[in-house]
This record gives sequence, C-alpha cells and structure tokens, in this order.
Amino acid sequence: MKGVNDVSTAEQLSTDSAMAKAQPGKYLTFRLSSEDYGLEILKVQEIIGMLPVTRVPKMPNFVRGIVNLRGKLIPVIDMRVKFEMTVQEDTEKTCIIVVQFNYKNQNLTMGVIVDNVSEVLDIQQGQLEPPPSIGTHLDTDFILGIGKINDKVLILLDIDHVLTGKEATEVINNVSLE
Amino acid sequence: MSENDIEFLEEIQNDFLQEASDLVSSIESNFLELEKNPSARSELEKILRLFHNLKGSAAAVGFKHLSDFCHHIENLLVKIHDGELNATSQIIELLLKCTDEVAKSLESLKSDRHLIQDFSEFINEIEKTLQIKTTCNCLFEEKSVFLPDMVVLVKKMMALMNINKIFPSCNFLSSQLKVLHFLLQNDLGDKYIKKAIYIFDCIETSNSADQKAEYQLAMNLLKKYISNVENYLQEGQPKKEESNEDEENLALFANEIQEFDQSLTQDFIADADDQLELIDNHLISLERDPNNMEDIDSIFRGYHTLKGASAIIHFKEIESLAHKVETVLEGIRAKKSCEGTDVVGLCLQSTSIIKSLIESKLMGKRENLEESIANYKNFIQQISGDTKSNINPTNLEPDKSPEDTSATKEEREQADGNDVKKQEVLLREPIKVDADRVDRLVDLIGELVIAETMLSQAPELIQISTGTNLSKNLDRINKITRSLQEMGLAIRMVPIRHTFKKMTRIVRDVSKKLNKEIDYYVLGEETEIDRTIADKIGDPLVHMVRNAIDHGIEKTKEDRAKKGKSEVGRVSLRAFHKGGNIWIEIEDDGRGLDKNALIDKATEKGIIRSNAVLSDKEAYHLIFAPGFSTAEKITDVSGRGVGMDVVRKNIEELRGSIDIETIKGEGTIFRIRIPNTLAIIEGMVVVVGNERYVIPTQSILMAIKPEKNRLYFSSGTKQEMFDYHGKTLPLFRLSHLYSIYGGEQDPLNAIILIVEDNGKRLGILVDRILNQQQFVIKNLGEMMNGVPGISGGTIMPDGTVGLILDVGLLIQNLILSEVKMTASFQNAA
Repeated sequence: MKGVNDVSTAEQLSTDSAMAKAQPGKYLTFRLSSEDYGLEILKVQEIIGMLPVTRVPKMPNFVRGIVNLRGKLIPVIDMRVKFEMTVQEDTEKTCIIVVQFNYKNQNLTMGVIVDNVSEVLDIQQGQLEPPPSIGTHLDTDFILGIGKINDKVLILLDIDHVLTGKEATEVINNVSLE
Repeated sequence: MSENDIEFLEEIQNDFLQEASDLVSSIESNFLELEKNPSARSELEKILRLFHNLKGSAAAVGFKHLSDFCHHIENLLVKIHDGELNATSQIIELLLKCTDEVAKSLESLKSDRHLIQDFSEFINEIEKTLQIKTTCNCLFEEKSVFLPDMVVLVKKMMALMNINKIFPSCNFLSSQLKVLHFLLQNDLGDKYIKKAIYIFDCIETSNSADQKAEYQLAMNLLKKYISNVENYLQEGQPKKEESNEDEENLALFANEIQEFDQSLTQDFIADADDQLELIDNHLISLERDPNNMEDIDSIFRGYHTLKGASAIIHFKEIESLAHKVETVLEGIRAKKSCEGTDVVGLCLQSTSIIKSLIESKLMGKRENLEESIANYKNFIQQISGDTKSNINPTNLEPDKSPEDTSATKEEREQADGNDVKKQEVLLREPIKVDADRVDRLVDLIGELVIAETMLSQAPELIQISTGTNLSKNLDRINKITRSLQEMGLAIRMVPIRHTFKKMTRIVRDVSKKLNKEIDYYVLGEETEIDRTIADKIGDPLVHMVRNAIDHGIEKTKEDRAKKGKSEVGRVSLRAFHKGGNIWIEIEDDGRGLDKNALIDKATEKGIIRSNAVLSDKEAYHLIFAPGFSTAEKITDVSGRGVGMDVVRKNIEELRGSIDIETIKGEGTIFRIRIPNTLAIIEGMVVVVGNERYVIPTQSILMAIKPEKNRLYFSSGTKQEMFDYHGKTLPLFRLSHLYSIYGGEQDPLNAIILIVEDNGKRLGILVDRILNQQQFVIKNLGEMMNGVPGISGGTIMPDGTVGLILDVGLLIQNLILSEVKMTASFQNAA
C-alpha cells in the first residue's frame, strides 16, 4: 500500500496535469441524462438535428453508425452508450454535434448524439477546476476539467480523448469478423 | 609633436573615427536606394557629401591614405553625379565594396593609429571604371577619324557598362580596356574590329537573355581574342586560325537569340515526346527482328516528322541530327535489312541526344546544355564517318544542308504525305485543362447522378408518371445523366498503355545491363485507369519489373537450362478490370521466392523473432519490409531493400492490395488490386432485416431461390453449403456475418446470391433483392476503413447511407477467420 504521502503526491500530480488541460474560453454545453457537459467551441463544426443513421456492423456498440451530412459520410457516436448510461429513445430534441478531433495527427470528423444542446458559455479561469481524480464513474482521461457557472456544474470533455486509445484503434483499424 | 599635441591629435582622431564609423554604416541604405532608383539624385548627393567630408576630415586628422582613397571614391561619384557614368549595379557593387573597405579601415585605425591600409586594389578598379568612360568619350570626340565599326564597338562597350547585371566586373572591365587599346593604338584591320564587335554582341545578348552558358563561351572567346591579338602584336603575324570550337558553339547558340514562340515550343515538346517514344518502341522491335522493314519505315517516319517539326521552330540541331539519321536509314532501307550494322544502337543514341537537347534548350535545363551540344557534335562526326564507310557514297551526302537529298522523289513524297497526316493527327490531340476543374466537374456529375436517382425514384413521382409526358422527360434526363456519367469517367481515364510503354525501355536497359535475355509481354494495354492511379502506379511497376529481371530471372542461361527453362527469361505485365477493381499482374518465370531464405534473412535483420512461425503468405510479404533484401550485393539496379517498400506504400495510398503467388524454382506472380475509387458502380440493393446493403453487380453471378434438397449443413465445420450446377459452394448468412437482427432465418424464404471474386465463389443469403441501380462510391472516412467486407459507402435514393459490400474483401476476411454460427444467435431471431 502506498503511504499517505504517496497518495497525495499522486493526487497532486494528476491534478497538476489535469489543471493544465482545461483552458478558459467558450464551451458548447449539452445534456446527457441529467448531467451537463461542455465541449470546446473551436472543435465544434456544426449542430444538426437527428438524421437517419445507417448501422455499420462490427463496430463498438457506442458507434451508432454513419450519417449522410450533405454528401459526406461521417460516423456518429452515441454519447449515452459511451458513458454507459441507460439508453433512451431519441426525442425531438436529440441532436448531433459534429466535431473535429485529432487522432494520431489526423483531423477526423465525427458526430456526437446528445439529448439536447443548451448554450455557448464563456468560462473564465476562475470558474475552472481540475477534474476529480476519484469518485466518478468516468475515466478522467477524457475530462478536461470541471466548470462551475453559478450553480451549474459542467463536465468539460476532451473530445480528442473521448475515444480512448484502444477504442480508437479498434474503430479505425481492422476488426476481424469474429 | 609635443605631448599635448599628440594627445590632442589622438582625441580628434577618436572623434573622427567615431563619427565616421556611424556615418559610413548608415550610407549603405542610401546605396541600395540608389541602385533601385538610379536617378535618385538626393541619395547620390548624400553619398557624395559624405565621402567629400570624409576625405577632408581624414586628411585633417592625419589619415592620409584613407583620405586618398576617399578622394578616388569621390571622383567616381562625381562622374555619376555629372551624368557621365550611370549608377549601374556593377558600379554600385564597386562602391559598396569600397565603402566596406573604408569601414574596415576605420575599425582597424581605432586600434592602431598608424596602420596604413592598402587600397590600391580598389583604387585600380575605380580607375579602370573611369578610364573606359574617358576613353570612350575621347573616341566620340574624335569620331570622324575612326572607322564606323569602331564607333559601333565603342557603343557596344558602353552599353555593356550600363547593363544592370552583375558581371565579374573587374576582369571584364580590363578586358574591355585591352581591346580598346589594341584597336586604338594599332591598325589591326577590319577583321579584328568586326570580330570584337561580334564577341561583345554575343556577350550583350547572352546577358540580356540570361543565358549563362553562352555568356561563358563568349567570355572565353574574348580571352582568346585578346591573346590572339597580343600574340599578333608580339610576333608580328596573326596566330594560325585553328578550328575555333567556341566560336562554332557560339554560332549555334546565336540561333537561340530568336525568341521561340512559347506555344509552338510546347507543341513541339509534346510532339517530339510522342515521336521519340514511337521511335524507341520500333527500335526495340527492330532489334528482335532486323529484317522487319515495317519497323524501319516507322522509324524513318518518326525522324522525318521530328525533322519537320524542329524546322518549324528553327531548332537546327535536331533538324540536322534527324536528317543525318534519315540518311543512314535510307541506306538500310536500300539494303532491306540492318543485320550487321549497329543502326539500332545509333538511333537509340540519337534519341537520347535529341531528348537532352530538348531538355536543355527548351525546357530550361541549362546545366546540361554544353554537354548536350558536345554529345551532339561527337555524334554527328561519328555518324558522318560511319555513313561514308557503310553506304554507297554516291547516294548520300551527309554534310548537305538539311534539305531533300537524293532518295527517290516518290518515296520522299509518300513519306511526307504520311507525316503531314500524322502531324495533323498529333496536333489535334490534347488540350490542357486545369486538373482541379476536371475533378470538380466529375464530382458534380456524381452529385447529379444521385439527385437524378432520387428524383426518379421519389414515390410521389412514380405514382403520377407512367405513360405521361413527365415520365418521358424523366427518362430522357436519365439517359442524358448516364451519358454524362460515362463521359465524366472517361475524362479522367487514361489507358494504362502509357505507363506500360515506359516499362519497355526499362526492360531493355536493365536486361542489357545485367546481360540477361528477356522476353517481355504486355497484355491489356488498353485498360483504362484513372489519371491519379496512373500517376501513382508507375513507380511501383518500375521497381517490380526491375526486381523481376534482377532477382527473379536466373543469373545465367545455364542456370535456366538446368531447370529445363528456355534460355530467354519471360516477364509479362497484365492489366484488366474485374469486380470494380483494376488488376495489374507482373509475372516472371524466374527463381521464385524461397520461403526459408526469406525467413532467415528477416530473422538476421531482426524483422522477426528467431523462432517465429510464419505462414507462406506472411513469409512472402516479408519482402515489403523496409530495408529487406536477399541480394548479395547492391547494384544500381536494386538490392537496397527499398523498392518493395515503395511499392507497398504507393499501393496502400491507392487503397489497393498486393498479393504474391510464387513457386520456388518456377516463377512468381505479383497481383496488384486497386479499387476503382472513382467508380460509379452498378449495384444491387439487398435487404436483410431492416438494413440494406449494396452488392456490386459485377460480383454477382446470379440469384437463386434455394431448394430444400440442395442445402446442406456440415456439423463438423459448422458450415452451411448448397448445390449449384453440380458444385458445392459455401453459404454465408449476411445476418450472421453482420449481426443483423430480424433477418429471414429460413433459407427457403430467402434468396441466395452467388457471388464471385477472383475465381472463388460463394453464396450469400439475404432476405430479398430490392432493385438495381447506379451508386456513387463515397469514402467511409478514416474511422471506418477497416470494416470487414465493406469497401465504401454510398447515398441511397432516399438520402440515407448505404454500405457497399466488397466480395473480395469479404472472402479475404472469411478465409482469415472462421465464421462461427452460434446457436445462441439463431435463437435470438
């Protein structure tokens, strides 16, 4: 077992590195279940209403499929499934946030299905906090930080890491028919 | 001097040096401003004032030499100020250099007051610059006394001084002076003056057209001229007129001074390219069969066309070269055979020379110009010598100017007639279009296809339309759209012939180099491939062909004989369309790949672990590893292990794949598959459950309704099978392969599609077939590139996304992994 000191240093380290991640700026906020999330606005390409999604076989279950975005085919990810929340039917408020993210120095476009989209918030440095290192059911790898606006708590997502390394590889590379 | 005086002197010297340094460092910008704008008097005056002051102050504090130098600089500046000299780049350069010297000396004086710097070099240069001008000026005053030619010469020399380019100034200036002196002090006669004029003319024009090689030659000539005259003056008689190479070369270049019409040149380059290719090909065929007069005729026509085309743009070298070769060929034609002569070698040499002449003269590769011309001249000499000995001299006079010689008039006319037609055809061929525009055009056509399909399949329309005018018009639109599609594809397609033709020459060169006899076969030249594919596939093919000859074919004929093979090695290149892909196969009947040798080498190089077990396929694919080679030594043909890596990379970029089939001792086949990415494919829409897939029609053999007694199940391999015309084929359920819910479970209620890829057949079970139509293949994006069996996506008529099944990929995946049909899945339905 690590000593008390070790734990705090580890915490320190993770908070330090996590502190570095969240930057003040504009974030697009949206809802999943009863939780509020935020995405860096610069990574958001557009927001569209739900489109018919074609399922692609042999993809991880959080990949719902592909949609036709004005002639370009982009994959869409079900955020609820990804975060292992209870799956619900799409409502008329359900929409797709089209984001651009970075994977191995490539710029990829992807759609994220969310319950609804709220607003764009300008988050100041003082409203940013590092992500909690323990006590969440989320892997803190893809959390940039926590934003506290008035009474609202926003979980700020790092879209580049939402697909963790292993999953991204799975999705992007060859998946055999097993 | 007294102590006080010395101290005082030092003090004022310090002040001077300090101030002077500052002033001098700021003056550079004035010079540059003056260079940009030679008539900027304010700048000039500033500079003049500076040096004037420097001169005075330096003298006042006892720096005599510096003062003297500044005096000279001032003189030069005054002349410029008075308009007697122009502020050319040359002169500015000189002035800047002098200013630098002044700055340097100021610095060194700071540390050593008694330093005496030697400015003589610069003073000399300044003097020379001034002198020419004075001499020239004097000349003009005494104009009447001198020959008009002298005046021309002097004018030229003055013009050269005013040219705004940077020459190696000092040498040139002194040469000019020398020439002037000779001519002024001695009565050398007309010839010498004329020659001098000619030389300076060449210098001027080569400079104005920025032709460095010619300029160099002209300068050499000038040097020779000067030494000749010196000699003459010393020994009282002119030097023997040796064959003046440089002069001849210059004369050749002088032709260039004509401006080639840009567009004519472009046409010529393209034409010449075609002709040279043609000639090359026929030469290689002629080599195999020296008695083939048709080849000779074709080659003759080629040179004749070249001659004509080069005459149009006044490219005299190619004209005379082609003419000389024609002469040789005539003799061959008369003899009806070229056995015993090295005509082929000669002609190949000539095509190389022509190519390099074109490159260096017309395409701006100036560095090779001298070499090209030298080769050209050697060749001409050689060919003149040869023709004299080989062929009846009364028939031919190789040194006549490029006009019709003694061949029978009919033959000439016929040849001319054919060539005129040929030239016309050639000239009609290409037009240049911006590649981007073509791409956008094709994209738009693709979108039109989709939109048209959506329109014609819209449920509202289908109800109204049958039989009415509306439906007729829709049909018309459909037809036109299809035609547009074809045209769109055609625009971007080029026959693979061009790429293959390059190989022909390479095969010949490499086989000659390695001393192996090779028979080269090409199949499917007319196969059309997309422009971008043609670009990318060239390099890999070159590597593979070279490898085939170098590594594949056995080293010696004996080696081959021992194995019972013919002495002549066989390399073939095949291309064809199949299943929405382009296939290119390279086959050789050489040594084949040795799996063990490959594994050993790879282990040695650390590419695989020492006890790794590899399948055949994996072992063969080792050759694609970068740096991998089993060659004993590196030649300039191959051996570094780079080639196959390049091949793999390029093919990957084309989203294709490469397969190796080899039998040790017998030969190897490389099969490259490249998807027709641009394709608008024809596909069948099939339904499984609530999902739809598109299967390319090309892959479908037929669709059958399964019969109970023709269905089997092998519990051992858990594989469903069915009977088809006596053959048993495996059956796969799409619903199982892709975990689709709701699919039809009873085969008897479903449809089997018999598909084929590369000879392998299997059946795919689907619920039903919807329809058949054309689809535009769309990239699925990076994230989905690896979905097994799916090669791309498309947009269905209702706007949703459809997945395109690729039978080949599917089969690959099925072979690599077993499909387990779990009982649980069957229950889930």
